[in-house]
Amino acid sequence: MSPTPAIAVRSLSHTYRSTQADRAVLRSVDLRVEPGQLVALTGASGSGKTTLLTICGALRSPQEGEVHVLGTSLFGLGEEQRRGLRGEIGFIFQGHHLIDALTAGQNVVMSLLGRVPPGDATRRAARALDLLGLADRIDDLPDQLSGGEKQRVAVARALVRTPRLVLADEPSASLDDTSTAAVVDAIRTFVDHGEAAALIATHDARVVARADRILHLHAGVLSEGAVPTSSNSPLFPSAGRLP
Amino acid sequence: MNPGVPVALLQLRRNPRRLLIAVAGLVMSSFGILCQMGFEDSLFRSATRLFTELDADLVVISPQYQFMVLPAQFSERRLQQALGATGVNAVASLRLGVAPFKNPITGINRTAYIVGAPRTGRVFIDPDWQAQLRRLSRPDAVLFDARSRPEFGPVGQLHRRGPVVTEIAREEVQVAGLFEMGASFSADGTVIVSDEGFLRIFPHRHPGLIDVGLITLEAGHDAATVLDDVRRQVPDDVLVLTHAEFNAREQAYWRSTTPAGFIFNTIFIVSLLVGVVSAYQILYSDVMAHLSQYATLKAIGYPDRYFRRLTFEKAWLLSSMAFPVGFLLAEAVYVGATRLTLVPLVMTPGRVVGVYVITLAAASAAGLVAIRRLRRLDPTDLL
Repeated sequence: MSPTPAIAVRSLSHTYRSTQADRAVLRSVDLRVEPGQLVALTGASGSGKTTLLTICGALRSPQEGEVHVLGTSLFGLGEEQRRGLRGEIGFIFQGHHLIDALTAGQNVVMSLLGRVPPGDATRRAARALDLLGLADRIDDLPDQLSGGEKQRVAVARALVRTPRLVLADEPSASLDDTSTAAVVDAIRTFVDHGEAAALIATHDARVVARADRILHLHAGVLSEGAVPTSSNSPLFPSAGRLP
Repeated sequence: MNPGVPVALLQLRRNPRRLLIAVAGLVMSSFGILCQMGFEDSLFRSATRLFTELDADLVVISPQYQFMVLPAQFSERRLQQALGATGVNAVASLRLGVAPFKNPITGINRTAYIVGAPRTGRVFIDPDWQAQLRRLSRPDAVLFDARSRPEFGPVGQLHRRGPVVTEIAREEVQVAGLFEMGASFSADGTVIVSDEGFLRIFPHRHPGLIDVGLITLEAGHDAATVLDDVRRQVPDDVLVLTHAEFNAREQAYWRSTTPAGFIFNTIFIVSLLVGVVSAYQILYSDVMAHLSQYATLKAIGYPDRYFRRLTFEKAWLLSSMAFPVGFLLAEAVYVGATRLTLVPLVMTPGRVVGVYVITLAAASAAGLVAIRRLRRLDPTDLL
């Protein structure tokens, strides 16, 4: 028996309606992401990547088709159920959105809301930051961290709760090579060592190079893309785990 | 719910200047409300201090009676008629007026409140006051309120050393005893005299007219039933009230007829607004400055109730930082004003708790308004 897919989407269509003109952003999209897969989602701005991510993240209600995330159909889900499902997903946004009054460690601990006792939360946060090379920055406030370090803290915040699905939207935007490597390494390692899957919307070849699969969205239509040769880039020596 | 991180405190501390302004606003708010309540209570309590000491179940007054300094006379016969009602035990009459009292040291006159009371029969609840009435055997004998304003002279000290002779309305009087009541907003000092002494000071007053009638009931009778019966016994040219109704009427005069009530209400509302606006300023700024962070938390599963609780925690912290300072400032004003005016301002535990709750409610209300924006916050805006 095959494991439950992290994401199973069939014939998903989505249209933004306005008084001016309706705009179809997703057209009969089929998508299946299995546990243990890191999938890169590419496409031009406005191609529907973000819409697909927000639907899969239970942040936006689907309009037409079938969407199952972590085995749960998203149709007809109430806000409480969607919120519960989001608790199983690790979100990484383009911006770090760290709480400026909290230290790096406390920001990561915030992700463990009601899940573990405070003492365990602190230990897990420290371990997550250590894996991202930020062990010595745990007590620093966000404004004492560089942009790359902040994004790494945001990644630690997403992964510390050991989600079964990671959804990331341009996680390496405006990051230097070192930070990008750290961010993608962390997600790659997390996916490789657990039962989780990751779907990353990105324009960044450095991220695409580490993906197991590449999907391309164009005018709302999803297609399986080619694996770039840059996957053997020296920046990402561990890349190469391609199907 | 909270994973062990004191988010509210850390966020408030993040901007010390903004925190200081908000706390200062709430200090002013709690200080203003405590002072307003203290002065209002003092005014109303002092206005009825004499009347609360009256030993009466029912009180008879003229319909034209306004307040203690502006009473209206009615025939003493009405009290005799009231005696015919079932359940009435005894009646007593009071005559009220104001007259110049000469400071025995400086010779300067100052207006005093004069109470004419019968020497026999129960008039006052306070046993000491009641016992002093027996000293009014001579028409020129008076009892002086030892806690009157000092402008009347050191009458109390002089009396303890020997006889004090002075004048009321140019009539020579001798201080026969002291009682302790305290100045009020309508009387700087009070003197109790006998009926005969009152008519000596106010010779133009008709002996058959009184200002307040006191009725005491026989034990075991229901006041409401007797009240109805007394009302049937006396013509409607007088009002018959319970003692509580009489006190309430006296307070209502101050509350609604004088500017005092309006002024106190205005101070209360302004103080409250200062608190709400100060708290709103920091809580709203805080929400707006953290929209994307809060949206992130919503995206990862934090429910709206977390943000409500976070805001209430901040409101509680702000109130708890501000209230003690406001309380201490108000206490200093209470002590200073009591010394200055001799009108006692008392900080009661109930008022302290009540004003703290009001301060907390003001900050919480500000928080509720401030987080309206959060309820509409859509985490998809982050993507």
